[in-house]
Amino acid sequence: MMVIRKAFVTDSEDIASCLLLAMEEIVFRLMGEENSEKALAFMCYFAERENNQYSWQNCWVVEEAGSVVAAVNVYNGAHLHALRQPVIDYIKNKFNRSVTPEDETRDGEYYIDSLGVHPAHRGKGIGTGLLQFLIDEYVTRRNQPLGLLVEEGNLAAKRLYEKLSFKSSGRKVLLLEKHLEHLQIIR
Amino acid sequence: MQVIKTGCTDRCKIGPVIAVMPQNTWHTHMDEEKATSLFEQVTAKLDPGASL
Repeated sequence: MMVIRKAFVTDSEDIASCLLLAMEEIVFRLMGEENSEKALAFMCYFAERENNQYSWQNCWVVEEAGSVVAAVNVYNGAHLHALRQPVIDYIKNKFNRSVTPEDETRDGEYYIDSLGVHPAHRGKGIGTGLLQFLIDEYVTRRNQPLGLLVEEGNLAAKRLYEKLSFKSSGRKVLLLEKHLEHLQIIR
Repeated sequence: MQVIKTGCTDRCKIGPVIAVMPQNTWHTHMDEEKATSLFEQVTAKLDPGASL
C-alpha cells in the first residue's frame, strides 16, 4: 500500500535525495563540479527552505510502510522566475558561477519539475501512480493545465506520458545542454 | 463520505484508491479491512464540534 500526500518540512532530506535521482546531472552542471555529496547538500539546502523551486512547499511524496520512496516538485509556471532566483543567487555566492537557464515553464500551467523514485522501489508503478495523482489534483480538481519536459529520444518516458494523456505542445527547450520537449495535459 | 462513480481512470495497477479530502491524500491498494481501518483513523482525528 502506498500513500501519496503533500510534503511536510520534516520530509526535506527524503525530498532532496529523491529529487536528486532525477536531477543530479543538472545539479552538477549548476555547481560546475561532479560531486554527489555536494549535490545532496545543495538539494537539502533548498528542500528545507521556503519559496524556491525545490522547497518542500512545492512537493508531494509517496510513502510506503512509513518511508518516503518517491517525491515530485510541482509549481505554478507563473512563479518560475521568483522561485528560481534564490537558486541562481546561491550558485553565484557559493560557486561563483553565473547561470542563466532557459525558462523551463511559463505562466498558464502547473509544471512538474522533477520526479524521483527510490531505486529499490522502481517497477512497481509508483511513478505512474504519482503522475495519475498529479493529473487528478491539478487537472481534474483545480482545472489547470499540467506540463512537463521530456528529454528528446527518451522514448520510454515519452510513451508513459502519452499513455497518461500528456500531449506534445510543440515547444522545445534547451536546458543546460539538454534537448527537451514540452508535453502538457489541458482539461 | 461521498462515493462518486467514474469512468475508467486507468488506475487498475494501484487501485482501489481511497482519497481523503480536503487534503487529497491517496491511499492505494485498499481492501475492505484497510478501508475500515483508514476510515477509523481519519474520523478519530476529526473535531467532533466541527461541521462536516
